[in-house]
Amino acid sequence: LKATRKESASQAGATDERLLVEAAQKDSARFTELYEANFERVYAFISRRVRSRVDAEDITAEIFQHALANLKRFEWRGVPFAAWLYRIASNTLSDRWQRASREQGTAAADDPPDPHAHANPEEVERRAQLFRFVATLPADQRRVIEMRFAEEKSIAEIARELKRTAGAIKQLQFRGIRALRDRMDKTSAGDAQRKKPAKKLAAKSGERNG
Amino acid sequence: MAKQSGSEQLNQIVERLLGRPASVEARGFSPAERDVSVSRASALGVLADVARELHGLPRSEFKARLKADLEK
Repeated sequence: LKATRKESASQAGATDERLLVEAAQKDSARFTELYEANFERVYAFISRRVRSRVDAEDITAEIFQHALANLKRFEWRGVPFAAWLYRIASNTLSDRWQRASREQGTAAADDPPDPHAHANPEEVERRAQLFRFVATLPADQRRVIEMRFAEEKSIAEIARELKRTAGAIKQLQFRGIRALRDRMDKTSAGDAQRKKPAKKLAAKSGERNG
Repeated sequence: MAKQSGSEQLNQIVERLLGRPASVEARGFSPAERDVSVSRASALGVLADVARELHGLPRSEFKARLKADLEK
């Protein structure tokens, strides 16, 4: 029953996404809904493939600008919209590295990062989910996590800005990370639970077929 | 020597993480990381993994600015 529910939820999700894409194709103002649904995925995909935050932001912006400009060409074939964005992302990265190699000569070409490396969708999805969970933290923990990991500020800088002691900031950082771990664990447990009935069914089917 | 608190130990790991590009995380453990005597299976090791994944968290200001640009 749970497996059927999961399947139904997945189908409903795909239908919703298809409707969102079609709405955005008719009215580009609706594209921001696709942006909100996929920003963390694209950023998670890109940030592990480039060497700086500036590059990650530039390339992420380029991907969404390209997607918006070419949205009418997107044809729904049952593949998630994110897969199309990842393809744009891979092409954008390849183009950039080729351009950099040409401009800088052999130095850049010596060790070109592979745009397709570590393209495990589950890994990207897990990291995107973690990024989204930050917004669900209590305000003080969220602020510290964002200042530390997104704005890359030191403990002393954060303490000064928030008028707290360094020890208090380290505690908030610790609690924030622990709360994120708990949210991730719950998500993983939920996924495993949903997969169990499907596995049992597959095993039973294997027994019958074997 | 006094034993360090969990928040202090975790902060030392975060300091090391933030000292290098986020793209390095995709390549697994670095020698510097191995210096930290934290087992991946330990409670602190699990939190260190989350911190590693958080490295490269997008700036909310960037997300908002890009959204505004796309709306133009």
